[in-house]
Amino acid sequence: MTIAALTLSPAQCISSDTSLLEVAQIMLSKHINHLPVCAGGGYLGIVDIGDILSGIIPTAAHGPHGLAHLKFAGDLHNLLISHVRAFATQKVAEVVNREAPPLDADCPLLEAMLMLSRYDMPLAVVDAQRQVTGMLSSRVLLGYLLQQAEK
Amino acid sequence: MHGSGSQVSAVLLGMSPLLVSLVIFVLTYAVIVTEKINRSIVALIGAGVMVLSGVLTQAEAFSGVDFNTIGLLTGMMIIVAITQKCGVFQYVAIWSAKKVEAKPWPLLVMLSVVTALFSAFLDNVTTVLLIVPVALLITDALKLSPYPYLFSIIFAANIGGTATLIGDPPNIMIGSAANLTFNDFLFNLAPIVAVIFALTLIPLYLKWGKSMHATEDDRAQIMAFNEHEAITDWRLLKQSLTVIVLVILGFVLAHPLKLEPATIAMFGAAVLLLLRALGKDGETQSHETHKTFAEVEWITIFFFIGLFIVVSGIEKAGALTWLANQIIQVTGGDHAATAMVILWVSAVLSAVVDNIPFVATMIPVIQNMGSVFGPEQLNTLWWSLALGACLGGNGTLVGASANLVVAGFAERAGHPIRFLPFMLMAFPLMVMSIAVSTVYLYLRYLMP
Repeated sequence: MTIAALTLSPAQCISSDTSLLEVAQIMLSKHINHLPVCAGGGYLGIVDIGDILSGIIPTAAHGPHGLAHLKFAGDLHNLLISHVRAFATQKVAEVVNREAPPLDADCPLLEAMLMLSRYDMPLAVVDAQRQVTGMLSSRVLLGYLLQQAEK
Repeated sequence: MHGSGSQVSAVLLGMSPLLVSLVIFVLTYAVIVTEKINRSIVALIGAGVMVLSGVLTQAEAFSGVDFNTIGLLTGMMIIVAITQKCGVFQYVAIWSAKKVEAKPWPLLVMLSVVTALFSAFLDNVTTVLLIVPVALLITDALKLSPYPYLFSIIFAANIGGTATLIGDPPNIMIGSAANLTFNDFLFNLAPIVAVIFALTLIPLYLKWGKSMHATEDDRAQIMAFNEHEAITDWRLLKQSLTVIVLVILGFVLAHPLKLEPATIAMFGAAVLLLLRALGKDGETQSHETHKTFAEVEWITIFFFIGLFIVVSGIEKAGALTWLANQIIQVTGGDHAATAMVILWVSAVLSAVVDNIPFVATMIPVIQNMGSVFGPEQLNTLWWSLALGACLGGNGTLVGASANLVVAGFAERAGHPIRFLPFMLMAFPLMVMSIAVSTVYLYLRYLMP
């Protein structure tokens, strides 16, 4: 059985030179947390709302040996706002997760399950031309399996 | 029986131990410089080949390892690994930033002073790992370029580490080999280190300090920081500070107490581990102790062990006695000239290659000069080596591990530190620090 049997969520692939501000606005207006990113006519990766939030958090708390907590710093309102304003000039290509693999339209269910569990985010489904045809989430997959189990 | 092993292998190879040991030494150091293979692996392979080729027996190899250095390093690494968890270092950094009302130039000076002080008592890499994230957060909030702050933190770490026996690995090695105490380092190096630190700030002010500006609004954000919130474990803070104070006191009193630094550091580490374990069940104790031991930089420890063996191989073969004689010939046996050669060569080489293997090699060379110079004169050579090797690390981005760690942070923060621009500013400053050291050594120890 392949993922072709599932009803995928529709997906709008955004260009890699879209600003982070636009990406954030699309996510909020469409009530979604992930968007596939395309470049050169094909799939590039996925941007997660967490990646957008990471861009607001001071870099001092990023990566290994970064500050473990920022309780002492209060809300740093000015700093956070200045980071959000900088989104207008930052491209989504800077934060896109290129590790998240696309799934082929005829990917077996078990493989899709493994990838969803490994990357812990919805994954893009692509056709033979690497055009994004939809997004597959753990929720859709689990719903399908529960339905099958009840039969 | 053990002693005959080397002779048998040397006969089997049919080559002179001097030639074999020199080939192993040069190859080991060459591969270390390429950084293609982890340096600890290269040093251990070099050490193994020294024994397998018959230059050293296993017993000679083990006796070549300076376990005083190894014990002191390991003990201090354990103490720091536990202490840093309580947030005390971030507390001090934030407190100091607030003390100067987050004004940009005084802030740079304050963070540099804090870095230099921590670095005098902690490993330089650990110091920058603790200070740089706070510096990045503050400069981010003040909308200032972090570059001048990161540059000055690198300099402060390397300069501060020069001041004490435990501040930088070369000093630990020199202190152990030359029987120099914590107080010896403090009295002989700390005064000039303070002068060099102050002088280094002047060019930094002229280059960056004059044009730094932050708005009242942004500074108010820093003044609103609550440094007490940086402390994550008050009990651990009290335990750690008590042990650190007692360990430093132990270093100061080591001579009258007839104790070696390794004993003091390792015992302090054991006491701190015990205090952490008290009142916890067996499983938690094992888990926490395991985690603490995992934070010891075993790569550095095994690198030292391998190097000590490699160097003892060429030492046994007579290469270092020959090198010592050559240096004395070049300087005509003149004490002042020898001190200056050691100081400047150490500085320039340490700016481009790891200072630890260099110092490991130079220690037996200087010990061999004991046949020409008296104990007091020999001490001057040790101070030349310490000043050159530690301060030389400031010359380029690859001159010290702390430099590369800061560069890594800067890259992630979107303000990469490039090799050439860094060197164009850093190398002249390093040369200035060595020039000041030259004057100091001459006036204090060499002037007829």
